[in-house]
Parts: sequence; C-alpha cells; structure tokens
Amino acid sequence: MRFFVVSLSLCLAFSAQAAPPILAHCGGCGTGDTAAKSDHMHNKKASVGHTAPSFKLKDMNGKTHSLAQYKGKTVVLEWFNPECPFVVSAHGKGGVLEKMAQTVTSKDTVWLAINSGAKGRQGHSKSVNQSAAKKWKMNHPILVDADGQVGKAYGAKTTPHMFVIDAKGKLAFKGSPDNAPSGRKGSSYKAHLSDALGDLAAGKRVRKSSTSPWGCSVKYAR
Amino acid sequence: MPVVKPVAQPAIAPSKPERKLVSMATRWAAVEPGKRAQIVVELEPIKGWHIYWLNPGDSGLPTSFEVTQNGEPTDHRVRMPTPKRSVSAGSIVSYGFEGSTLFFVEPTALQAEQDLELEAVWLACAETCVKGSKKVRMAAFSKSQSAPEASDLRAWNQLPGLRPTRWSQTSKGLVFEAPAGSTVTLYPHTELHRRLDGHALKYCMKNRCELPLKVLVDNTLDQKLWATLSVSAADRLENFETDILKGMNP
Repeated sequence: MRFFVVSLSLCLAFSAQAAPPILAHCGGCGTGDTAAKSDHMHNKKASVGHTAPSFKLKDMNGKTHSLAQYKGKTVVLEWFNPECPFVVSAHGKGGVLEKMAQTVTSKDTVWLAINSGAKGRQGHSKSVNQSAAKKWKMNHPILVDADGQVGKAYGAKTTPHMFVIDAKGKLAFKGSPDNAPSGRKGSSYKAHLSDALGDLAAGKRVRKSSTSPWGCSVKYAR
Repeated sequence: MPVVKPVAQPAIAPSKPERKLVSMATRWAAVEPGKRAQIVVELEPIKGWHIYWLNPGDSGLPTSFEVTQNGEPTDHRVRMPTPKRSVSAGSIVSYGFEGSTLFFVEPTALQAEQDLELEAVWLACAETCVKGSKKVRMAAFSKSQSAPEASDLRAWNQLPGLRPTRWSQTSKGLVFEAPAGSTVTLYPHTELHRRLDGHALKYCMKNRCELPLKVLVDNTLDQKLWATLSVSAADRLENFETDILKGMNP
C-alpha cells in the first residue's frame, strides 16, 4: 500500500485507534521471557500532571528496570533509535543530547532510553544499540520495548521523544529536547528539556510542560 | 580464431554514487496576472519516498526554503499544496508529499537586477529518513520572466487560498460546518496540531468539524491557530487556509 494513500477505511481505522490506549493486565509480567512487559498498567495514556504509566522492561543486557524502583527520583525517558538521523545528530558532536544524560544523572535523577522499535525494523538490533551506546558514551540503560506497549502508553511518537516524571511519579514534561530539529540553534532557541529539568530541580512547576516532538517516527510493529 | 582476452577487473569496485532521493528544478513563472513572477520549486522524491508539509505531523521535518541575495537572507513567502495524510503504526500522523510537488516561493524584498540563491531543505523518508538540501543560483526575475507552464498554473490554482471562515463556539467546542453533502478534512498547522495532540482526524466527520475547547486553553494564546481545510463535494474541491481564532469572528 502506498504510503500516502488515504482511504475512508484508513480514516475509520485511525479513528478507532485514536482513543488513548488502556493497557490491560499482562499475564506474564515479570515472569516471561519477553523483554518488554507492561507492569499491570491501568493508567490511560500519559498526560502531563497525571501519574505516569508504570512499566517493567529489560535493558539490552537483560537487567529489569521498573518505574516503581525509581520512585522518589526524577526520571527522564528518551525514546531511542540509534539509526534515526535525528538521534544521531542529537547525540553527536554539539547535539542537544550529547552530554545531557551524563550531566543530569545524579542520585536524584535517572535517565532511561527506551527503544520501541519492532523486530526487523530500523534500529532494533542489539548490536546496533550497543555500538551506539559505546560511541556516544551512554552510561544509562537502553530498555527494550519491542512490542511497543510502553511507547504507546506514553504516546511516544518520535525518536527522540522526551518524557520527564517527577519524584512523585507524575508526568511533568513531554515533548522535544529543544526547538531545533535541524540542529541549527538560532536566536529563538529554546532548550525545552533542559528548562523543564531546571524548573523541577528548583522545586517549581514546569513552565513549558508540553512541546511538539520532532524526529523519526517510532518504528512500532506494523 | 582470435583469442579474446578477459578484461581485467579493478581490484576495488568503484564506489556507488550517492543515491539521489529527491530531484529539484526551479524556474520563474508569472502565475498571477499583473503581479511579479514567483519561483516555482519542483521537488520530486523517488517512488516510495516522501517529503513533508509545513506541519510534518508527529514526526519528520518541514520542507523549507531560504532565499539569499548578496549572501543576505531576503524575506519571502512560501505556498505549499494541500498535503496528503498518512497514519502509521502507533497512530503516528504524517503530512507530506509523494511524487512531483510544486512549491511557490515569492521573494518579497528582492533587488530586481541581482541574481539570487535559493536553497531547499527537506527530509526524505521511507522506512528510514535522509536529510537533503540543494542550493541553486538563479537569474533575477527581471531577466528571466517566462510564461507559466500549464502545470504551474494548475498547481497554483489548486493551492489553498486565504478565506474567512465561520467557526462558532458551542459548549462542546469550536464548530465549522461545510455545506451538506460535502466532506471536510482538517489539516492542522503546527500549533493547532500540538494542541490537538495529533488527533485532528477524529474531530471531523462528514461536513462538520468540532474541535475541543481545550485548543483555546493554553499559555501561548498569542500564537495563531492556522489550519488548512479541504471541502470536497461531487462537483468541486476547495482548499483554503484559515486562522480558527479569527475565523470565529470573520
């Protein structure tokens, strides 16, 4: 099917999909071999000011991470695809994410990359992710969400799409790292993510809590 | 019988030239009677690839243009056709163009006798995405006026025009109604897309669009809420741009 063929059936299909996903119990949470499992999520799609959807995912090395284990900390989620040119640019020299994770990670702040790319799609393979992590000196884990459940629960659309969860477990920010998708930082440059983290660190309400994401589409299972 | 010597093969195969994903052509065309000519920029991604509208949707990058004269950027206006919409896995909405697409670039402060440079920047995507750009030097329009090609005029006439539209406010939201029997499609520009959280499609049905009031509740109300509307009926198709805030009080 051509990429841009818009038919009535597609419109109807989209209308049906447009409702926020409510994820049901996952029978095998924490017990199965599947890398990605939602963690008894009853939350609707992530919404700023509301409790962030909980999750339990394995990282590239097989270690399990749950949102619950980071309660009391600020958690930064970065939707990640190491082969997306926007991600490559953001993590490359002078990119907005080049050093940010290392800079903000502390005893109070955790940074987690999440790859919701399905098997066989761009940026999914373990070797590509590990190679990128080494090249970009990423010390934080890359979590595997190959079935896309967590990505869809958060409404992650792009790589890099950023979400910040405050110490109380509420979503405080969602959007793009900055307003320069092409990497050109002009006079109207806004460091959205950095500003949001700064507000949280200062104990303030995040002033710009939602911005339009930019980047490659998340390569969910078709 | 002559002996045919085998042709020696190079030890290293020559590297493949970089694949050209998007071709670009430019020309001046006086598409509006009595007005200055405009630059027609024709971009054509190869089959299976697409480039993006001014609001790329949930992902992608807008196709953009820069005009310079003597190395200095000059003001210009860009007109793009109504895009096509696609929805991919994860309800990711994209707005863009496949195949040959004509963009109209109108420099508004040009020194007529001097050449100019025009640069187009795009993101071409299929399963993967590749950034691209091309810069061309063009003669000033006074030196190269030409009659528009039929395809230029056709594309120009199909561009969405500016038109006041009546959006009424109800307890549920902002409502736009096209004539009965027609179908209205809403293509939100970037700010409206953000406020609708990417779900514009679910707010229009048949000849009626009803946007939730939440689009008005925002701390950046100074921004305009532009949308392109496409109203189609059996005997006609009309595309136009509207600022839904002004459209409430045309």
